[in-house]
Amino acid sequence: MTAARLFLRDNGLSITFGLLFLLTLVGQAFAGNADFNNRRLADGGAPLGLTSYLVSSDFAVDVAENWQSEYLQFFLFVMATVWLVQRGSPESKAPKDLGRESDRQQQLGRFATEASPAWARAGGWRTAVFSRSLGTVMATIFLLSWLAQSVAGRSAYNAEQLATLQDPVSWLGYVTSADFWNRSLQNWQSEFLAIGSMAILAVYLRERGSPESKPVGAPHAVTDEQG
Amino acid sequence: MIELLHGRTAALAAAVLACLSAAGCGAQADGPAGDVASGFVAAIADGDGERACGLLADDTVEFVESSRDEDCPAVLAALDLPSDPVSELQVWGDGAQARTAGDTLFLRDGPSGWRVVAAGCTSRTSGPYSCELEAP
Repeated sequence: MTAARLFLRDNGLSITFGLLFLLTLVGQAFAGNADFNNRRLADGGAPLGLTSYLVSSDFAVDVAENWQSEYLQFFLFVMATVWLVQRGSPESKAPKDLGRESDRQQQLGRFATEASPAWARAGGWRTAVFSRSLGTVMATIFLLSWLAQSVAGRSAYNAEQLATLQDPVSWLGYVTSADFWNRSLQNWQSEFLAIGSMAILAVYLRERGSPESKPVGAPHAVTDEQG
Repeated sequence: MIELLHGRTAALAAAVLACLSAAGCGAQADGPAGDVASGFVAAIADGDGERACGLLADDTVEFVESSRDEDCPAVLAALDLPSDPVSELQVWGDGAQARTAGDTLFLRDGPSGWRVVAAGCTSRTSGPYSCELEAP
């Protein structure tokens, strides 16, 4: 197997979803632009070209509101699975491992190996930071995306306010508005439904060969096993 | 465990910067919308109904003429709209709001550029402004 084929095989998951992301983002750009122009023409406005639409607040808010909810979902899932379990689910660890776990389990301190990441072996603040790096990055991206949603959402909202002969609102006014919370909560509820149903359905259902599933023949009650 | 990630940090930062810098994503102090608003109130101050009507949106002119059964300049002359200079302007996307000492105007960026869609507007406790001149 050539080096290129080996690289593609070893990174197939991230490459595939990276490409799917780009393709669907392009699709969203074209569909969103068409939808935006339909509404503008109906209101007597002028249509926007694709490039102008891509830097418009309408496109930015539609993108950001979905991103923030995805990163919130994964942040909460990463953190919740430290302290909460779902018996029988491959998304959960065993009840006996609740919490941050021992240094032996986490390969830290004298249990670290030569192959452990440098900051895991370093100890002190580096290991403390590295031990929380996944949740920290997820939370940071969530907050930045949510901030972007509020900035772009305010702009799009104010354009609608002016079209209906109403006053524009301040940023604080927007983040306490029904529009902002409707956009946020409608995304959050679907993320929580998806992750909750995944955790419980994986107790009783199987997908042969997927690490998101237990082995097909594994008992329902077995936790922390992947197939 | 679920390991899928959605989105890209760099793209998000680019979207935020683009949004913050784009005309459609923030308020502007002046520009084409301000020129049209100033031109409209100046025409009203000069008593030049033809010029003022040329700065109104087409659907506003049509509605005003059909509802009052007079041509646009005659309607403007009868309305006695405030004509103080524009002191404040907000632009959001294809909409703008201009304030004078005695009036609030609304503008829209349409196929013919920026045009006044409503004038002689006063705010109400809630809901849209009440305007002497507006499209349906």
